[in-house]
Amino acid sequence: MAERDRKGTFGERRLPVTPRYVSPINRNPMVLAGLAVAAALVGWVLLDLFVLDGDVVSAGPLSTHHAVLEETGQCTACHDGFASATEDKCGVCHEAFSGPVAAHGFPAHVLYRSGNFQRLDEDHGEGLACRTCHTEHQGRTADITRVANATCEGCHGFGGFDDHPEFAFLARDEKDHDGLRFTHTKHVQRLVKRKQLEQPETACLYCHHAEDDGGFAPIDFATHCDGCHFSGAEESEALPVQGPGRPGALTLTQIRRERGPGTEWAALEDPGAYQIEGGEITKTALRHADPWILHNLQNLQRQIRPGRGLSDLLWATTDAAPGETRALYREAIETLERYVAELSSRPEAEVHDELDWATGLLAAVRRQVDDPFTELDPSRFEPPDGEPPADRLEVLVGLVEGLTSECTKCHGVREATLARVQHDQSILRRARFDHGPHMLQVDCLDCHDRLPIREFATSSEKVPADVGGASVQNLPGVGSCQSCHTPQQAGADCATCHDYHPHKDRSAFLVRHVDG
Amino acid sequence: MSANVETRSGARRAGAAEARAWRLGSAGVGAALVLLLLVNVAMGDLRPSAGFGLAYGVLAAVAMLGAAALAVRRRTMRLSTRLGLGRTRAWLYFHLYGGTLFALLVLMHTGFQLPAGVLGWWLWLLSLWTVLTGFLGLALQQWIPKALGSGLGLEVHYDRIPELVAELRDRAEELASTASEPVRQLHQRQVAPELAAPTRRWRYFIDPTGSIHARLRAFEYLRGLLGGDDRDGVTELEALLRAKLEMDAHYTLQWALRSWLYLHVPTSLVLVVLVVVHVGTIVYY
Repeated sequence: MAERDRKGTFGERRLPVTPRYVSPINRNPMVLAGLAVAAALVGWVLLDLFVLDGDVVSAGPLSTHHAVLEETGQCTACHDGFASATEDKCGVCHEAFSGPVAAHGFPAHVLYRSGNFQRLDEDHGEGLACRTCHTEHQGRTADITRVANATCEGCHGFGGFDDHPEFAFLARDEKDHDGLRFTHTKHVQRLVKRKQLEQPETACLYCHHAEDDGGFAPIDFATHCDGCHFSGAEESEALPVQGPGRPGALTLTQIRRERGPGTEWAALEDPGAYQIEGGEITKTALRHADPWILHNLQNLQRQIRPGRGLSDLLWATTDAAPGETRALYREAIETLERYVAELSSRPEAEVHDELDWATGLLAAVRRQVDDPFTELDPSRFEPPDGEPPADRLEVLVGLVEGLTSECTKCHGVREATLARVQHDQSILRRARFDHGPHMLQVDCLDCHDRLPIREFATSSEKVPADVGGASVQNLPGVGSCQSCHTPQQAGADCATCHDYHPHKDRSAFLVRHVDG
Repeated sequence: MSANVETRSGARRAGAAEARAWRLGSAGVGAALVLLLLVNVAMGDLRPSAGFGLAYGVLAAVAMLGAAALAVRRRTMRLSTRLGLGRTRAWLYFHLYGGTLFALLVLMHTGFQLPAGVLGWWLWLLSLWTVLTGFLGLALQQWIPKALGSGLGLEVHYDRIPELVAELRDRAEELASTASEPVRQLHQRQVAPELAAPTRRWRYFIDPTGSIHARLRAFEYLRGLLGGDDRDGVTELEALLRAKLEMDAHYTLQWALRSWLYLHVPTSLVLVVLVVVHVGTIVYY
């Protein structure tokens, strides 16, 4: 009591002030409790890692495609120890990743729709691991095949679809293919008038037949043009008959007498279709790809450019689409195979011996051409260096013009050769485009608006000669796509149009190639 | 004396300016983060493993470690002062605002999605729990001192409450032993059970003074019936009981002020350890 009095009192009730120091609260138990729980959890993590199934440190449930591995505790199916999933582990169930032509490997991506195997030799670094794009442990319903744009942007150097570069054919201002003197606008105008169509887009579908893959079937003369063109009444110009030292057109008799390669058709021709008067010949009842025209054209080409090399085996010019040199070689081989087939009707034993040898040789050459790693020389199709015969050149060119007068209503002719026609009209070769969903949203001419088709479709105004052309590139720029394809609207993922892995059939091809 | 008041007033102004600077700075950083998030959303890739997501995760870890450093700072006062590591107040502000930004960064890191995986869930729940209990502590520290200082006549140290209640109990018993029967009865029925030990009551969280007045209404009634010494005895018992009830209010509210740390600190430690495990696994894989 004395102690208390000495220290003093407080409050109304004069309560005693403490005679001793009041120690602050001891918080060590609180800290120790936290550390104990943390230690217990770390222990649990370690136990789970080394003894149990590793669920705790797992970043999350596996997607449904790999869920069985999780349910059966097979972490080692993908992981070696603590390491990330390796490509070899993925390759146990999926297609090969390692190696120069592994279907899911990086080099295969380099091939991406280009089909240019030479690019595989270029240095593209070590490539990307599967997990770079396909992130697992995102939950059962995660779509691990859906790849974020940022992954692509890491290498392709532009951010998002709104920053997509202009399509190559527009960026390079490529000239329209002039293989055909075809006026899109005029054709639509005539179809609309003749069929009394209300929508000009309906006219498109008369020639452009949709296919299951979202594209359209290649344009084919017999299917799409024959209904209006070549009624049977067309005939060639009267051309001088070729004689000794005199350039001209070969008659059917002369061709039959040749019995050379590529003349079998002559045996089946009606001689009545050939009229010879006053040293000039006229072919009546011309048809598309008329063999007499083509044979004589080839004959004149050989006189204008002797020694034409491999281009002598082609009916059209050698300006194939970029990277399509292989197609030219295949076309040349097909011509030679057709020659061999024609000659096989000859009775001579020595001819058959030669044909057997030629057949074997052509098969070997075809294998070599089909080998994607064979580098093919496009210059073999280029014209020789030699000068055409100056004294007869004018006459020969005049003969070519007369011979092809009916052809040139639609076809271009360059250097006495019919211009090559791009049948498939494929322009955006590195992307995938499905017309189906687009046609539900917009009309054809909403996007294909580089030609004034809509303007002239229902008009009686004559379409000017300089409007159109074949215009297989009647495609809009990337800006047109960007107007709908945004993250908020129609989706703007790279993977909407582009594949990282080659198409499945290419994958299977690559596997076959490795095996073979 | 006047100089002291001016010094105190100046310090208060400087403290308010410092608090405002921290508040504005943190709001600025928060706004920048939200802007970054909007850019991120526009680019359409809001995943923890993507570039932005990883950056959020790293920033969250930094903010968490910075906030947790307050505990270290408090336990190494002399060393920190000697090393010139700044005032504790600055560390406290970083603890508060850094912790708030940590919560935002965690949500940005997870893409505002529920986490995947056991460890992910632990980290997500512990992060939110730690931040929410931090907010709770902040609210208690803002409100309880004001509540205790505004309506109660007694200010008492939490650890001395049992001892002081015993003192009140002794005095009441001494008073009752010499008082008349009605006062003794009052002590036995109303006062003695209350003075038996300190008691925590939830109602103090709502209205500390109001609940005390309600309990003392019976004494007012009795005082009107009694006269002379008995009335004085009742008044004294009422004062002792009031003091005890006020100590109960302290006992309840100061307990809350101290106990919220048990909700916050241990889980914070667990969180720090699990974040280290998380970062370790991410770096390894």
